[in-house]
Amino acid sequence: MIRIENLGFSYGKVPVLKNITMGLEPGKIYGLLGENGVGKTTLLTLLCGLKKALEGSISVDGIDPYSRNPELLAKQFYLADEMLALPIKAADYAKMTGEFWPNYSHDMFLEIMELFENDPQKKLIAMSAGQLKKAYISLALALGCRYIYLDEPTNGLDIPSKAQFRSALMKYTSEDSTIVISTHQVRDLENIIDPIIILDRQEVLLNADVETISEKLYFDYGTELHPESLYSEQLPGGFIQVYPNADGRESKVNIEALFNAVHKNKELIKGLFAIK
Amino acid sequence: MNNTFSISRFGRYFKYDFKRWVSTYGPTLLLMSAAPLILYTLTVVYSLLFAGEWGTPGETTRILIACMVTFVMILTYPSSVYGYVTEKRAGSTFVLMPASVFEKFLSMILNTVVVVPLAFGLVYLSIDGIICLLDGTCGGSLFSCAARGLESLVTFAFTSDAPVHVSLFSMYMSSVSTALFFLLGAIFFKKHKILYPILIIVCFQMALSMVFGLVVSLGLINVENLTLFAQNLADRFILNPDFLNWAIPAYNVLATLWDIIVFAALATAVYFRLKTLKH
Repeated sequence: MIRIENLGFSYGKVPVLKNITMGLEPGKIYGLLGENGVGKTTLLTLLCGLKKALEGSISVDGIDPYSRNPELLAKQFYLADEMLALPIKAADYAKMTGEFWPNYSHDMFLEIMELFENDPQKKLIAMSAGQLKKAYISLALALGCRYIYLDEPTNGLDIPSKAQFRSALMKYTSEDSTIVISTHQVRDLENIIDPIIILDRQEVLLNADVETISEKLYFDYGTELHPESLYSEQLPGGFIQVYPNADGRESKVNIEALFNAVHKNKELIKGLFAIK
Repeated sequence: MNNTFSISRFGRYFKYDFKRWVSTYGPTLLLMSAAPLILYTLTVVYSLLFAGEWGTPGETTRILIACMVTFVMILTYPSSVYGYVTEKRAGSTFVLMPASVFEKFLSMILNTVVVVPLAFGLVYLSIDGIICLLDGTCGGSLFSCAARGLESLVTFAFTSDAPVHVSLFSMYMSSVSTALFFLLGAIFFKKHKILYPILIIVCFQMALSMVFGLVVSLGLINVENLTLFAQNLADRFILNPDFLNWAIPAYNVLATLWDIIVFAALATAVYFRLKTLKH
C-alpha cells in the first residue's frame, strides 16, 4: 500500500507538487495523466525514492522510499522514459540484474522477449529505441515486483508492440501488484488503466476508478451537439461530449475526452469527485 | 533482513558491479595496460622503416611511458568507472539496485583502491615482462625495475646511523587517496569530472601560497629568523643519530596516521555523496 500525505516538491523556487494526498491500492493499474511539466515523472521518482520529498511524506508498505531500504528496493522497479543502452546482451543484463529481485524469473523474461519478438541475445547498445524499451519492459515484468512505476512505457513502441505490451502487462503481473503508469498516450492504455489520476499544476484534479467516473460523468458519442456539455469534440460522423451523469446512464469512458473535460472544468470536477 | 549489510547481498552486488565496469571500462583498461605492446610495436616498426634496424624501447623510455600511463590512468579511471552515477539514466539504476548504500559504497571503494589498480598493474607488468622475455634487447622488465626501485626506497638511508624506512603502506595510502579524491570528483560533479578536481587542487595550492605570501609580506613571520631557526634545528638534531632514531619512526607513524585520516575523510565524503544522490 502506498500512502502519500501532503506531499510537496519543488525544483529550487519553482513548485511542482503541492499538498498532494492520496493512497494507491494493491491490485490496480493506475494511469497517471497530466500536461507536460505538471510533475508526473517527478511523482514517479519520488515514489521510487530517486528524489526526497521536501514536504509531507510517502510511505510504501510503511517505509519511506528515499531511505533506499534494500528490502523495499527489491519489491519495486522504476522504468524511466529513457533507458540505459549497455554493451551487454539483453539476456545477460537481465540475469545479472534480476539476481537482486527475489521473484525474478529468467524464463518469464525470455517469454516476454519472445512475445515482443525481441532478440535476448542482442546487445542492449545495438538495439533500436523501441527494442530497448521492450527489453526493459520485459525485465520490469519478469522481476515480479509488487510496485512497478512506468514512465511513458509505450513511447517508441510500434503498433503491434503496444498491443503486446498491454497483454504482457495483464498476463505477467501478479494480482496484488500496484502499477503506476505515467503516459500521454492514453489511447494505447485506455482499456487497462484503472483508476485514473489526473495531475494539474501542483495538485491532483482527479483520482477515481473508471466505474466511479462513468457513474458521475456521461460520455455521449451521438451526432447532436449539446452546448451545455463540459467538453465536446467533433469526430468523424459525430461528437464525443462529456456531461455530469445526472440520471445514472451507462457509457464507455473516453480518457482523452475525460482529460480535456477535467482540464476545462477543474473546480467542478474537483467538487464532483472527492480526492481519495 | 539486514538492511545495512548482508554478506550474500554484498557478494552479489560486488559481482554485479565488477561485471558492469568490466563491460564498460574493461576495453579501455586493457588498451591502457597494453601500452608496452603498443610502444614496442611502434618502436620496432619505426626503427625498421627509418633506420633499417631492429630497435626496441629501452628501459628508460619504458619507465617514462609507464609513469605517464599510470598518471593518466589515476586521473581518468575513477570517472570512467563510477562517473555514471551522476548521469540520470545510469545513476537511477545504481540508486535503485536492491543493495544498501553501504554495500554499494564498499564495492566502489574496493574496486577503486584495489581491483582496478591491481588489474591494471598486473596486466601492464605481465605484458612488459613477456615482451622482455621474448626480446632480450629490451633490457630488464619493469617488474624487476619496480621491485628494485621499491627496495631502494625502503632501504634508503639519510645517514649510515639512522636508516630511513619508508612505509610502503603509507605510500599505498597516499596513492589510493589520490584516486579517492578523483572518485569523489567523479561522483560529485555532473560535468568536467576530471578538470574540476584538478582545478580544486590548483586553487587550493594557490590559496595556500597567497596566504603564506600575505603572512610574510605583512611581517607576521620573519623569514630570516625562520631560516635561522631551521638551520639551528638541523645543526642540533637532523644529523644527530639519537634524535633520528626515534624521530623518523615517529614521523612515519604520524605520516601513516595522516594518510589514514585523509583516506577516511575522503571515503566518508564518498559515502555521504552516495547516500544523498538524487535523480
